[in-house]
Amino acid sequence: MKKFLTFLILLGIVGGGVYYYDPGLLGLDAPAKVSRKKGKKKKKASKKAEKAEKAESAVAAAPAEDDAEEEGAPAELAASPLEFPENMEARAQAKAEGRPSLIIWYGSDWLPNSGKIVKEWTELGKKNLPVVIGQIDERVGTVPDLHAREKLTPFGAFTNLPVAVLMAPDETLLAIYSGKTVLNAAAMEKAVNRTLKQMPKYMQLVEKARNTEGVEGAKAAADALAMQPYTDAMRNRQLKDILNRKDPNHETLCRYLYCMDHMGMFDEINAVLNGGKGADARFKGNDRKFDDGIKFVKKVMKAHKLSKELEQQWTAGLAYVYREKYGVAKEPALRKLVVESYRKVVEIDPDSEYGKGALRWANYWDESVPYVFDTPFYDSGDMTVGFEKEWRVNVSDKMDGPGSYTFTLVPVKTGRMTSKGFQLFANGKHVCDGDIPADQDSKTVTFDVPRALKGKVEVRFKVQCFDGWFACGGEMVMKKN
Amino acid sequence: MLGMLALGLSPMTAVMAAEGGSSKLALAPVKAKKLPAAVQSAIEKGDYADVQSALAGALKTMDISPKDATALHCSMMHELIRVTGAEFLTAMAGEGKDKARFLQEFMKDTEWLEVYLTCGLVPYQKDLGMQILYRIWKEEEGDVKNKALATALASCWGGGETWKEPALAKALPNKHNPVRRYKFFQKQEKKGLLHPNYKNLKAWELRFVVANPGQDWDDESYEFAAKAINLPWDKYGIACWAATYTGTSKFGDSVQGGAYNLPYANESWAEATLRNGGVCGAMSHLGAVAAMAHGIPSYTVGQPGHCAYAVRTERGKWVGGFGGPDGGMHNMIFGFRAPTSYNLMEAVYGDDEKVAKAYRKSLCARGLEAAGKDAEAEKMWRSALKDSPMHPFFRAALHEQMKKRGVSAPECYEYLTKDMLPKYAGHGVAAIDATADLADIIAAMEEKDQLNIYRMEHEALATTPSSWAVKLDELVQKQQTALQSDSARQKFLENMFVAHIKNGDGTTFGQLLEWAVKTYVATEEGSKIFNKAFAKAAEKAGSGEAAGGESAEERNKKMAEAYKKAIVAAEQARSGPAFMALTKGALALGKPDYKASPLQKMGELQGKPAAASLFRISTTSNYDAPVLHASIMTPEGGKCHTAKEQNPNFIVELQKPGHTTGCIIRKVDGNEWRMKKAVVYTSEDGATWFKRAETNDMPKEWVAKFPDGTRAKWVKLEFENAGPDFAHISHFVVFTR
Repeated sequence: MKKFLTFLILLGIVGGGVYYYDPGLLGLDAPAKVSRKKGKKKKKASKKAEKAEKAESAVAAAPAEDDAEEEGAPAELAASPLEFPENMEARAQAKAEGRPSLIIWYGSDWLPNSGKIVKEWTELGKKNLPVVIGQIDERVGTVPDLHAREKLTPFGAFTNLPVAVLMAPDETLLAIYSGKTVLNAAAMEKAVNRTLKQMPKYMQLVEKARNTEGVEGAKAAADALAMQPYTDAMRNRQLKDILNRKDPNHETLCRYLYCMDHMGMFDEINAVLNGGKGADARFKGNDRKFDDGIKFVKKVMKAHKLSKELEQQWTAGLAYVYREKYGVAKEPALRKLVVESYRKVVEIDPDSEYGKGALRWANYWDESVPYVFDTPFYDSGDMTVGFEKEWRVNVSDKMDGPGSYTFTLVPVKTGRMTSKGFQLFANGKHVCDGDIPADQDSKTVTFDVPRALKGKVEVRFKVQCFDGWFACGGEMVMKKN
Repeated sequence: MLGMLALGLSPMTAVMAAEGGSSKLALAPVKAKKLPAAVQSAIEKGDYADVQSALAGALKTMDISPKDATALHCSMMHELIRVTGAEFLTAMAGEGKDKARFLQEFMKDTEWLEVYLTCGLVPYQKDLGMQILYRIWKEEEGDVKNKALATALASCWGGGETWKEPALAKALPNKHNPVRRYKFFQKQEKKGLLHPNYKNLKAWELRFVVANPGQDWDDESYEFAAKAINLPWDKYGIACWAATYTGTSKFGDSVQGGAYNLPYANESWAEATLRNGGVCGAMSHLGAVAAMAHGIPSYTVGQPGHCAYAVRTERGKWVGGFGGPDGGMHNMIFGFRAPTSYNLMEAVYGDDEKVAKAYRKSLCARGLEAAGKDAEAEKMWRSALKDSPMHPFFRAALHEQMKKRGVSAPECYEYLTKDMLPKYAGHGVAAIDATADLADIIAAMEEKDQLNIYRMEHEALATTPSSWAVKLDELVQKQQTALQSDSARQKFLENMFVAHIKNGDGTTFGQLLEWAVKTYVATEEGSKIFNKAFAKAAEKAGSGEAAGGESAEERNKKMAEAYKKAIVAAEQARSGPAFMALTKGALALGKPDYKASPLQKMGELQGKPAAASLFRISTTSNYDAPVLHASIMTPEGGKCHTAKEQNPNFIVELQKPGHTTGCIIRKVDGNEWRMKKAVVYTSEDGATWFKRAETNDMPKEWVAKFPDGTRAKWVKLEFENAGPDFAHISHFVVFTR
């Protein structure tokens, strides 16, 4: 480590300044496409870059938006593979020289675009980055099994190649790069340099974490983890080990944040609610300690400055406690808290997985929000169980002047479902009711439309499912008679 | 199986496949000649009942053989109508000019017709398969670029004999669209994003790439997985691990309830799983979809309390993902039991040209049946079976013909023992399935003949690679029930044991032992039959035949050897009752002269030693003592010894799942330097393992403590050796609260 710091000092990249907290500084990477959906609002450039960073860090989850995806571009395999030192050799060299190692993991004989990778990384090799570049060329049949694959990096295996890992000379994880970044020498260079710039502060914390006993060491480990994108931090076994070891009694509460995923979080929350885990649980149903659960979640959230992901996760944890409490108490105020908590998760980052999921949950529980259908299909997950929900089905393209129209729900999945109170609206204004009584359950209804309707035309009605969230599905058909 | 002739496609010669255009037929396509006027006219009118009767009439006048192109063509058309149903086709032709024209063209396209009729399962008495072909034909404006792919979709999505209710009928059109999936694969192939062998896959193989709407995921999942999971071609068996194993959603809901997926109901299933995790079902589907999206055949598979999957890394070679490939296959051609069903499928389709020839003969056989020439049809079926002896549909059709003409018991015996059963080495389950067609006739035979047939079946079964997943209880029960006397039953057991002790790989033997133990050992009379049969079998298996005049010591030695093999077989078959009963039986012969050193650290774990029902060893060796395996799981201790392995392992199965606090493992005295790096895992489903403790330097006696709240039914100890080495332990005692 001493040798490495000397090297950094020589490069002039070690600042002696005071450490400041800045989550996500490590692993900054070139922008990658975030949204897969069409018609999204344009974001400001800085916000877009921020999101790109996050998406890029989601190594295992982010699809490689590579050039092969462009229409008509055939995949290209490498005619000859990269010529960097092999993984272990490069890491040994990096250790000996006190330099970071940058390992690309790809496959020259099977990975689409490996030809492009070879071209770009050969170019990257010429850029004099202050790192030892190495490679894992996982050709077909070269790694015998899952265990062997897991051991190729100190951070486990990856399932969406190519990927590149930047490690300190002592193999502390610095950053993981995937997506377009790996396929582009200029983007890689920029991303690596950005990470290296932040590395001294990060490594100081790592050193402190290693060399300081007790909770101070644990706190330094948590501070270092907080500097990494969430998904990188979750893979950082070394720092998590330190944190676990130096804070066995949860004095810093940081283990709840960095050493467990959402499943672990819910285990802990449930342990508080139930007064113990598994067979040791003492409380059930109404007797559960909901207020203790709420206090626990809030306390953990104050323990450390949270990344967006962690803030979303623990806010979802809070919503869960409210929801459990509402399940037994049925107080409208609690339902409101559930909705507010989910809306907070959305607000933190609407495009994240947590944000998207929370939006559906918020809309599910919020009585004032209808379900809007722009396609003619209703499906799993559109159902509310235990209460009615208003559905609004866009039928604008089916309208062809005044006349009689029949709207029909054609079930494909045949769970028990009621649909009633059919009305026709145009641009938000009531046009007419269906030809059956409002409280009568029916799968088909006829509207006598008195005039030509322009703009957005919707059929509105109320739906409830009795066989679970995934019991019903089908098509909604509007036909002129 | 008799309801249809589902013809599976033959693979090719490489040259023909390269040139064979979009159908990938192994033989040169049948050259269509001018059809009889009555047939031609009926096709143009679109009344397929008329077409069917015109074809039957024409076939009566023909000399039907594979060499006669017109007769073969007429036979194919007749077969299509027979399996689909004339009423369905007529109704379809009435749905519009385009559909009528498609049907006319399809009937005349001998190449496409042949691929469709020889692609495993033909949609049976439904027009769904034809509707799928039509939609792709329409999309491609009458010039279908990949008929093999279109056919696989129609065949697999349209249902078939084993899927009486095609799942597509219950799938939402925005989730499962055959045209979208067809275009997806065409696009991926064009871009070079599919496995290099994809282009060589025949229609029957492509069935395992396009998947089955009853078990697979939506179209968008394929598109997502193609981007989000990219692994070396041989690694899709681990693709499931792209997702996190979690039983709790990001919002705290259990995977067992519908709320788990609710927040992500607008995402593809692959995306929702990859981003949010899941348990075995979702993860195995993700792994399978990832493989299929890259052009690699795959199927998901049901196991008790678990879902796994399999991928086909090369022709004939299926490897497991997440505990697969064994179990109940969700996509199949010749039955759902993996591995025997897919091994049969690979064997039947293994020789492209032969099976193609057999299929043409089978089509002619159907043509002969349509012409009312049953005797000639039977000959033609026999001829088809010469080329493809184990094809279950051909065999069933032959048996139908034999029964129709009233085959006698002696002729049937000759047929089974000389013609059929000798051809089923390595495919015993298929042999028994096929023989079942003739069960009534066999039941009327003398007991000695029945015993001989059952013996031959078990000899085939003993050489059949199998697994715990292929259940044989019902089958042997039927055989046994057909026998009347106790002496015949004893002989039946004896023959069965001999076959499996001599040649079995252990798995099937273990299952049969379990059945025999359950069936016989419960009563005193039954125990006598079992013990006599087992003793005789042990003698015979040891010497090739019964060795009269052996000393008691020699007999005991052979018995002990047979028991050793039987106990390990019971372990492989995961049969707790057989394992315990055989251990008891073996100990009655005499306890081995071995005593394990006592445990020193009993007090270090909370709770008490758990009651265990089964011990499993990854491999056995000459140093192993299977009779002492059961006591390894108790404080008394026992002994086991693997062969040299990189990762030797032992699994303890508890009698019931519970909260485990840890386990104590002790090495056998001597050579303790072995077995350094050790990991202990637990599982609740027997397939998904969670690491609970590990050591890089395992002491002689290791107390592995589990985290609070660890529920388990299975506990596994695995050694991570630097190279192949032995593992030997005396104790593996699990503690529960």
